[in-house]
Amino acid sequence: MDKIKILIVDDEVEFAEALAERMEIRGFLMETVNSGADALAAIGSTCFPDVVLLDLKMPDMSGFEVLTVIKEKYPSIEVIMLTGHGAASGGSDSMKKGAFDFIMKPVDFKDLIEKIQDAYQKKISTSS
Amino acid sequence: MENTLRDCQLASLGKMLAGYTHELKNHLAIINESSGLMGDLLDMTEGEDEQTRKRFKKIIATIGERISQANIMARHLSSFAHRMDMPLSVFNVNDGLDEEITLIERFARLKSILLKKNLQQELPSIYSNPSLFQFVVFAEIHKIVDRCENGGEIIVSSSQQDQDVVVSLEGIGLYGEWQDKSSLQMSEAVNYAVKKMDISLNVEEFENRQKITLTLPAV
Repeated sequence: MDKIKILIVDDEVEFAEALAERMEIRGFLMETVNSGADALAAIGSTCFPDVVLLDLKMPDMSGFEVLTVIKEKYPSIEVIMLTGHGAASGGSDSMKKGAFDFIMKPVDFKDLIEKIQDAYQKKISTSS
Repeated sequence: MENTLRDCQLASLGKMLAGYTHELKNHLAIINESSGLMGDLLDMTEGEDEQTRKRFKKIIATIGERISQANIMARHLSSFAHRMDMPLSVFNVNDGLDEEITLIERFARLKSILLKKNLQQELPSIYSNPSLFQFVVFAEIHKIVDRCENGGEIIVSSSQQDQDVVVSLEGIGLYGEWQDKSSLQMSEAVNYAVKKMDISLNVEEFENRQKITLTLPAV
């Protein structure tokens, strides 16, 4: 089975790096960027992820804006939103905009892995 | 104008608290992933110095437990803060009570008072001012905590009775009268809030026991 390629987009550098390393240990191919602009510059040129883990609140571009561009340009990429927001409304709103799912911070790691695998399954079933 | 000012003040406070808890969750997320990574790296050293590995695993488990507890508190604080954004809304009193109990548990714990909850599941929602509701519950629990002796009990219950949602706050192990310096002001504020929300508040006094019942019309 191919390794699942994941891009983490989060302005919290330590969070993104620690999460990426933990997922690499479990066999995922990881990349991280720390802004929405960097994510949009990387996707399709240097980075071809199956799943994007996208922080909802970032200083340069919001997760909503980045999600909208990704789904417009690369509809086959599945996006899981990461949110530290207390209300789940941000997550459910992003699902209306095309996100596969959302997960609250601090992340339940098992739950995250399951959601990534489900998102990947959806991507390959849609592509074939 | 006075009411508008109060509403704006509360909304600002709510926004500040919501932003604060958002930041708190970011910090918790970093601690969570960092300790998770420590655990993963430790797993890769299997067979080496078992005693030290065991100690580290125990420490990592403690960090994980504390993160979970802090996360629950942050989540409740955040929901509590967001309630101040909306002067009137449809909400479930159990959610409001859960948030408040988590946030005021500390006051009770410092006096060794057991705070119990007995909330009826699948309660109908009510249409009211959620932050005023929480203020009334806070003020009444605060009064009970003040009068409660060490080792006392507070039972927070909710139930449906016909077309109403009933919330009761029962203090067991009380002594004396409530004599907080701000008691009169607080009582006046509670009475005003009850009137504004158009709900009823009933107080029953027994020996070393008090039961406060709030009756709110269900949607």
